[in-house]
Amino acid sequence: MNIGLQRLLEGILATLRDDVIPHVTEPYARGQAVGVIDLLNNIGPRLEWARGPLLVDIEEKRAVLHAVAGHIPGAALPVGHEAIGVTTDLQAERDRLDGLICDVLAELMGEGASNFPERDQALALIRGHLHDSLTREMKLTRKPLFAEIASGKQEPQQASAAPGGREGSNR
Amino acid sequence: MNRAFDSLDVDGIRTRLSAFIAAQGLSEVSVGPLHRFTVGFSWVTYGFRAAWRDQGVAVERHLILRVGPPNGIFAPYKASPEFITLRALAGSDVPVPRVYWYSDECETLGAPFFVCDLVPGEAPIPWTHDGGPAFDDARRENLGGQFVAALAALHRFKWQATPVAGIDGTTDPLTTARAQIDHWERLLARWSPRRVPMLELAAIWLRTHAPVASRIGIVHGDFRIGNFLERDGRITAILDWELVRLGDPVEDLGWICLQAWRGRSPHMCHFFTREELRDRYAALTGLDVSLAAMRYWEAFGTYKLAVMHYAAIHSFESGGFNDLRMAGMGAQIPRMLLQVETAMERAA
Repeated sequence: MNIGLQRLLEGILATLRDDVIPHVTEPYARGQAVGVIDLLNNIGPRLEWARGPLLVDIEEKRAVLHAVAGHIPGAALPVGHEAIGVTTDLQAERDRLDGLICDVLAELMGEGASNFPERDQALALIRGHLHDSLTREMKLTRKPLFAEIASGKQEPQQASAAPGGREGSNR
Repeated sequence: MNRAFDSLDVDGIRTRLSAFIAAQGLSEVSVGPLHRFTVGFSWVTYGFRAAWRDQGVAVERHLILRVGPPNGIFAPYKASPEFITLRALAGSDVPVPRVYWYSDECETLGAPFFVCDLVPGEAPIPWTHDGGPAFDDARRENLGGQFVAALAALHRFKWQATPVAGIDGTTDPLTTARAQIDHWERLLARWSPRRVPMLELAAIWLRTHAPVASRIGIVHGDFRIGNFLERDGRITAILDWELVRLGDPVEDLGWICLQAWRGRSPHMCHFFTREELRDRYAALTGLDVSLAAMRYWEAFGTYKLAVMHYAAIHSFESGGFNDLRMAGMGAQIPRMLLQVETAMERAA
């Protein structure tokens, strides 16, 4: 996920409180919705994004950067290898490694690309990593409910991904 | 003095809008209650009835007010490019709402805004419950023909001697594609504190393979299913011109081809195969567009849509825009980045 967990929880709580509950008129349904707020308030301080996928991603980024360095003469990539503590540190390390990958991409695909005889091998390693990393993330990503969100009507199933859409006029 | 825009203060907006309209040289201005529409991801939209007297003639209209909120997904907004383009296109073969007034300033409502006619119709959306076709064959043929005809009319429009010549965009055919990449790369840097390797790779690739435009035209920027209205089998309006600019018109053809607008349908925007789209466009415009050029702009469009997902995250996380649909778009970024990879490989 690309959003801070606490901000996400704040947003969910505010939406329930301000945009949903005022429009729920059936008392039991309203009580259940308030119950969701109550639970989120208590669960929130105990949650953080899962560390497992972050650790796997960091390990793979380090591995690919090590391998890429072997194809770039004289490269000294500050890949790092130390263990990391809390989740926010893991996210920062992932971001640092992504920045490093971006720098390598710019070098390999930039004007001086011809200086790297093993450029294609290095690029293939990076592209393979990016594909694998995103594919792993997709296993955690559910199909979006944009049709139902856009129409406000319950649908039996959703199958595509994109924003936008409305009904009724150019409102 | 600039005031803060409060989307919930409909009475205040109504009062200030009424004064603004009266200041346009109109008399006996009456603005009815504003009803906010909760659809749309970007501009805040209200419907209302208004009446006024213009040089002695009584006028009454059902209107739309669109406001670009300071915390919206593409903030800061400008109303003028959309307004100027719509006004120029009035009476052309591009079906557009009639526009009345606009402001890029924040004195009146606390945000830029414009007012246009409410156009009746429904907007078919790209998403179906099973991911299949959005239209049967007859509807696909009928609406598809009008869809590409509207695009062809837009791209044939002679903008050079109109105020549209002053809107954003790059009119040098040699650099217009690269200017678009630069533009969206800058936006990504503004919206994402994280660097995104797949998008940096895509930007380098797009820049390396940037085409020279065969001509410069008005580029809608978001021309697709979901952004037009239909009533009784007729497209009544092309909507959502907020990304309009001058550039390579093939950009719009590529945008139509995005995976995001067709689900599992084999038809671009649920209307055409790529070849059909190219051929129909060529027949209407007399312009030969290569499939390779369309694939390049499809790759660019997918990159642009991915960047727009980061805009959604930014507006939610840092802009105080509490719409959970923004957060929902953030959850779909891996899907978007894989689509960027696929589109780039298809174009290579």
